[in-house]
Amino acid sequence: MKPVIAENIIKSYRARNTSIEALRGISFSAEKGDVLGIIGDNGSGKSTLLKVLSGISRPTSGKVELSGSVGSILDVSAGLNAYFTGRANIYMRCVLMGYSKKEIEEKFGWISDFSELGSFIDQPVYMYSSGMFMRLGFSIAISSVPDIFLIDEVLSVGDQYFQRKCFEYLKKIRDSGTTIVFSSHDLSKVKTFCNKVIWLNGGVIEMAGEPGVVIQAYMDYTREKEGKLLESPKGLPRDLSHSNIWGSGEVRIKKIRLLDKDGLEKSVFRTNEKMAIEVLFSAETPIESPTFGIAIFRNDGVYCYGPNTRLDNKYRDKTWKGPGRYSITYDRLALLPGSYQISIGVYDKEEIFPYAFHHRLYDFKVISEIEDHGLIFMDHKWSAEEL
Amino acid sequence: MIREIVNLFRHKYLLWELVKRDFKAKYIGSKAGLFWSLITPLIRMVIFIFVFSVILKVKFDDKGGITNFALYLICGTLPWFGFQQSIVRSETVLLENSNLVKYIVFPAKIFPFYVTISSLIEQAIGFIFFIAAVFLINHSFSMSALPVMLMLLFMQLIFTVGLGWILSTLNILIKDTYHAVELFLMIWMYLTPIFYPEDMVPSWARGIININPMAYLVRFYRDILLRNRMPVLNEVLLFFSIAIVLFFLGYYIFEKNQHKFADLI
Repeated sequence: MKPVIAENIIKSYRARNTSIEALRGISFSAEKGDVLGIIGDNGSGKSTLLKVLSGISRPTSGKVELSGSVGSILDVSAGLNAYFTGRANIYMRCVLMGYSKKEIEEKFGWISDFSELGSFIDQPVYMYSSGMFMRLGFSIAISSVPDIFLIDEVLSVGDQYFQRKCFEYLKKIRDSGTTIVFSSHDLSKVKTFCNKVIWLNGGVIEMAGEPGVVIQAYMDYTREKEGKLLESPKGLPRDLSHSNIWGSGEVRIKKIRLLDKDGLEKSVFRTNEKMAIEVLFSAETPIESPTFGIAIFRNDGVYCYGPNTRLDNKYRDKTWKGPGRYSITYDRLALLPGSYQISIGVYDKEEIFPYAFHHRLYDFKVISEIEDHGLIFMDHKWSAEEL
Repeated sequence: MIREIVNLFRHKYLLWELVKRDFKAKYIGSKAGLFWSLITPLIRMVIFIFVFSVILKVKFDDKGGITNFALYLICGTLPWFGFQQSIVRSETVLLENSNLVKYIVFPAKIFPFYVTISSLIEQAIGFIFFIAAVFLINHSFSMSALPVMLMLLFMQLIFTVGLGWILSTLNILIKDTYHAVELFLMIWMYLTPIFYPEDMVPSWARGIININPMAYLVRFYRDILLRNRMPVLNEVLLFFSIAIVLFFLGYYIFEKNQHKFADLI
C-alpha cells in the first residue's frame, strides 16, 4: 500500500460567474520514505494540491488516499495569537491539533528548545521579530512526526541557520520512514532533498520524475519565458515571421545543420561534446569578402558566444557567387545544460550592414550527466592545503 | 451521528481551553482583566433598578406575582442577550479564524460551540448578581431554584448551539445571512415578552408568543427566579424537544457543508 495516492484530482472554484480550474486531473503516488517535491510557477496549483491532499479542501472530483497519520504545514502562522505569549500559543495550537494536556506538556520542552526562543517564550508574540514568529510556528508544526508530512512553501522561513536546522530535522524524519510532500520555489533545495519531483503548470503535471531532469526542464521553461519578456517591449512573444529575419537580400540562408563528431545531424548535445554548425547559403549576386557569423544565445536571451570571420580574419579576399556553405566547429562545446538558440548572419566585409540575418531561429539543447552551475564549463583544477 | 456528537464532547479539553482563551483574549493587556466581566453586568443591573424602581417607580403586577418591573426586565434581558450574543458570535467566529479554517485540520464544529458556552458563562455571572438582587429586594429566594436554573442553562445551550451551527454555516455560504439575522433578531426580541408583561399581549397576538421558543425560555427563568414556582413541565418538554431537534439539525447541516468552508472563507 502506497502511503500517498492521488487519482485524477480535479479542483475547480466558482468565482462570480466563472469557474476556475485550479487542478485539472492530477495523478501521482509516493512510496514510504519518498520526498516528493512540487515545483511550478505561482498559480500553477501547488498550494491547492497540498490543501486537497491535507483534506482541508475537498477535490471537485478524483480521489486522494493517504494511509497513515497526516501532518500538514500550510501556513506556520495559522492560529497564532499576537497578544498571547509564545507559551500560550504553543498550548493553543497543540490543543487545536488535538493533543491532550499530558501530550502537550511532553511536547512543550521540545518545541521551546527547537524554536530557540529562550526567555522570549514568555513574551507576547507581537514582540517577536518576524523570524522568531516563524520559528515558533514552524517548531510547533513539526513537533509531531506523522507518517505523511505535507509542507507548503514554508521551508524558506527564518534565517539560514534555522532553515538548515529545519532541513536537517526533516531529513531525520524522512530517514525514519515518513513520506514528505513539499512545494517550494527553492529549486536547489528541491534538488538536494527530494527523490522525485512533480512540475505543475496550469493545474496539470507538466513533467514528473528524477529531480535533476524535471528541474532542468523547468529552468529551461522559465528562462524561455523570461527571454520572451525581455525581447518584446510589451511582454508579448516575438513574431517569428517578421522580426527575426532581416537583411538586404543579396545572400539567402537556405539551411542550418547541427553535426556531431561523426557528422550526423542532431539537436541535443552533451557538454564538452564536439559540435559543428553548418550553414548552407546562396549568393544571389556576386559578393566580395562577406563576413560570416554564428552566435549562440541561451533561451532567456543571454548572449553566450558569437565569433565571425572578420574578427577572426578569415576568408577576407574571396568573391562568392551561387550556392555556398560555411561552418564553425567547437571541439568541446562548453555550454552547460539548457536550451539554446542560434543566430546566423552574413554581413558585408566591414560588418556594417547585413545581407541576411536569422536571429535566434534555430534551437538546440545541451544535456550533461555532471552537475554544474553557471553558463559554461571552464577547465579547472582544485588545490587545497593547510597553511 | 450520536457517536460523532460523543466525539465532540471528547474534545472537552479543547473546548475548555478555547473558552479560557476567549476570556483571556477579551481582557488581555487590561489591568483589571476578568473584573470587567463581573462589574459590567452588575452596574447595568444597578442602573436598571435605579431607573425603573427609584426614578420611574413603575407600578407593575403580573399574574404570577412579580411586582418589581426592574427585576422582571432584567430577568428577561439576561437570557435574551446571552442568546443573541451567542448567535451573532457563532456566525462570525469561523470567519474571524479564517487562517485556521484554511490551513489547519481541526474540529471546526467546536467554534460555534465554544462561543456559546462563553456567552452563557457571562449570562450565568449576570444571573448570580441578579439572584443577589432578588434576595435583597424580595427577601425571598428558594435555593431549590439553582438546580433548575442549571438545567435551563443546559437546555439553552443545546438550543443555541444548534441554531448557531445552522447560522454559522449559512453565513459562510451566503454572505447576506449576517444582516438578515441582525434584523430578524431585533424583531424576534420585541416579539419576546422581555420589555413588556406577557399578560398585556392581546389575545389575537398570543399565537406569536406561543410559537416563540425564547418566550418559553424567558418564562421559565422568571418562574423559578421571580415567581417561586416550577416551570410548567409540558412547556419545558416542548422547549427541550425543539432544542434537541435544532441541535441535531444544526450538527447535520454543519457537517454536510463543512468541506466547503476552506474554499469560501
